[in-house]
Amino acid sequence: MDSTHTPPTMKFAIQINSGPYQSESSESAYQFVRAALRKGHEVYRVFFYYDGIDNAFRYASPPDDEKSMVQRWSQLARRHDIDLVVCISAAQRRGLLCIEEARRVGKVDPDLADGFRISGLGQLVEAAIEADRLLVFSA
Amino acid sequence: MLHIMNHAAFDSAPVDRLLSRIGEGHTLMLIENGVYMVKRGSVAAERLERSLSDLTVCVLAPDLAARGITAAEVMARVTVVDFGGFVDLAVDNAVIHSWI
Repeated sequence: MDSTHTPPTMKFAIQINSGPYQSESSESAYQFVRAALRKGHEVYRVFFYYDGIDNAFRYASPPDDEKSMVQRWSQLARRHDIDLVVCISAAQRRGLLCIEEARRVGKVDPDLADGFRISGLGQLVEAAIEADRLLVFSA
Repeated sequence: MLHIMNHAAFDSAPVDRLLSRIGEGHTLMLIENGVYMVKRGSVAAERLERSLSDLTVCVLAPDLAARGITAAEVMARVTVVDFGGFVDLAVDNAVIHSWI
């Protein structure tokens, strides 16, 4: 099978459960999303759950000659208007805070990278309902 | 139904669960370390061949390449796809399960 097959246009939801330095799942999900967009499909939402929230740390600073998954997601969201949602419980457990929450607990920096937003598990449920397909990428 | 497997056969628990639940006419998409299962002559490939005679097995080309597995080393009756082909399989199968 090759990619010349022309299927109907669909809405995809993606769930990512592991971080960029934990497994290949972020890379696989990212490449899947790009391929789906190239084929004219819609990516309704990418939901970052469990250690998947590590994809959203603004200050992740890999060496210059190494890919940055955080920047890749931010760029993809900017170019294609993709909704990148980080699970609030998973994020707060791991110290990833949006500016409002950071201020509330007496911290100063917004840790969340551009293009991401923090919300609840309901967003995953809604994505599963609204999208035609939900794919899970995990370690 | 589309089954997605990213574990190699030597990570036995997820593979055992998969092989016990897979049904006739299903499609198996092997990604990441899951691609080791199709290396011709390996114990994993023999196990897959025995268990999955009625199954469509697909394997992700870039993940084969990343592990140095050439097309000639891929067992018979396995289809090599790119990420676009993976997307097509997700479109063609209304039920998708990732074995994690």
